[in-house]
Amino acid sequence: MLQQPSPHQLEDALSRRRGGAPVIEAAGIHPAAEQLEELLQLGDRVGALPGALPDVGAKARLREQTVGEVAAHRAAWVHHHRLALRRGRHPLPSHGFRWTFVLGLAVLLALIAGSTLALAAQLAEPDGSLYGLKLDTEQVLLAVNRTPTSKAGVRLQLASQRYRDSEAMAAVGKGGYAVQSMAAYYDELRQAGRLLAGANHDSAWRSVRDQFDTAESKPIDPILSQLATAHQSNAAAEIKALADRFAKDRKAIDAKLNPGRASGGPAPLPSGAAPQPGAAPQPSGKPTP
Amino acid sequence: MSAGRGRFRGEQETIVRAQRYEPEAVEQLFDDNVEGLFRYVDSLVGDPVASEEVVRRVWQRALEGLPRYRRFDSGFGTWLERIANTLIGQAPIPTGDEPEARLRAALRRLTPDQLDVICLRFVAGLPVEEIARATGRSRIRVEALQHRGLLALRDAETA
Repeated sequence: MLQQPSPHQLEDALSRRRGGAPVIEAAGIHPAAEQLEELLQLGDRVGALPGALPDVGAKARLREQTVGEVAAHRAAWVHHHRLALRRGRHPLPSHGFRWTFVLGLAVLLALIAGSTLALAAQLAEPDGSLYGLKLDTEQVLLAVNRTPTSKAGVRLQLASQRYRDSEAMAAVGKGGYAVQSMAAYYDELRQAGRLLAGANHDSAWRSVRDQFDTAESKPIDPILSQLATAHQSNAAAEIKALADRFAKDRKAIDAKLNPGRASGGPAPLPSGAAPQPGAAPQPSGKPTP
Repeated sequence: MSAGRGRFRGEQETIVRAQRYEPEAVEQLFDDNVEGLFRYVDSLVGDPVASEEVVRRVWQRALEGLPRYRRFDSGFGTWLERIANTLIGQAPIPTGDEPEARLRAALRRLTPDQLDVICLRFVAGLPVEEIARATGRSRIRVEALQHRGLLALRDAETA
């Protein structure tokens, strides 16, 4: 069986033949040389097929027909392009709407993404990666409330949230987070107390003051119990110390907020006295374990 | 009908005017290409009357497609020859025992792609690179079509 040349071998041989090499030389020394020679000769024969030039009559007829058709094509072309020019006289469509739509869509998507993230952050716990974002959004809440009374109300809500955070962390045995959350809880209470002390005593004030009474009397025993179960005795001791420190401040705050009420505790601090500097825990922020 | 790139560039301006069907530009293109095209077609058809009819249809189709012509770098003549390759099949198949008639008849049995490449390669005398550029095929694809076309042509001639 004769070996067939590859397409590339054939092209090489054809190139040599085209360069003027004789057929045998162009085919070269190759197992498929015989086949190559046959194909080269076939190519030569195709290339040598005689083709006549058109006679004068044929050329004239072809020219007349071609030029005659040009006139019809030209008329159609001019008609088409005049229509295009007429259309062009109208003002070009504005892309303003498209850009407005794109911009609006981008803003909408950003709002949706931001809202989703903020919502997810609200569900974050102190050991979560979005907890810092949650604290930041709380600061926004504080900023939008202008009066001391309303700011105090927000502080009390945040204090309750910190208390719940501490409960959650104690339940899973994360003592460090529980301590930090409780420190933030007491800090929020102190700041709410300060705000209320300097605010007008109207009906809103009284409502917030009642909330303060509720918020500051949350028991720490369940948290201490959870921590003891989780063998987090150091954290429990720290929380106990925080509670003791706040108890001292609380008397002064209560004296300012409830001047007419009978107090079974020790005498309130002098008017305008700030809580003990050492009693203030670190500001509320993302706690570290 | 193969020509250098310089000629193609000079031709480009005429083609652009011809695409707007300016009569002088079309006439110039006709005068520049009609003889080469006729010779090319007649090589494959072998009958002047049938060749004239094929050439007439080639010009007819070329005028219709002229606004869409974009292959400035492969030559207007090659474009006309490619149109001719698609219209050769409408001409009567040559008969007779002469080797040329048998070869022309064998060419007509090739597939359209093989006929396109074989005719451009051997009748028009274009190198593989130019065929690849003119037809939008890869060089390897052109070589493969050339290879299969010649083998098919050999088999068809001896059948």
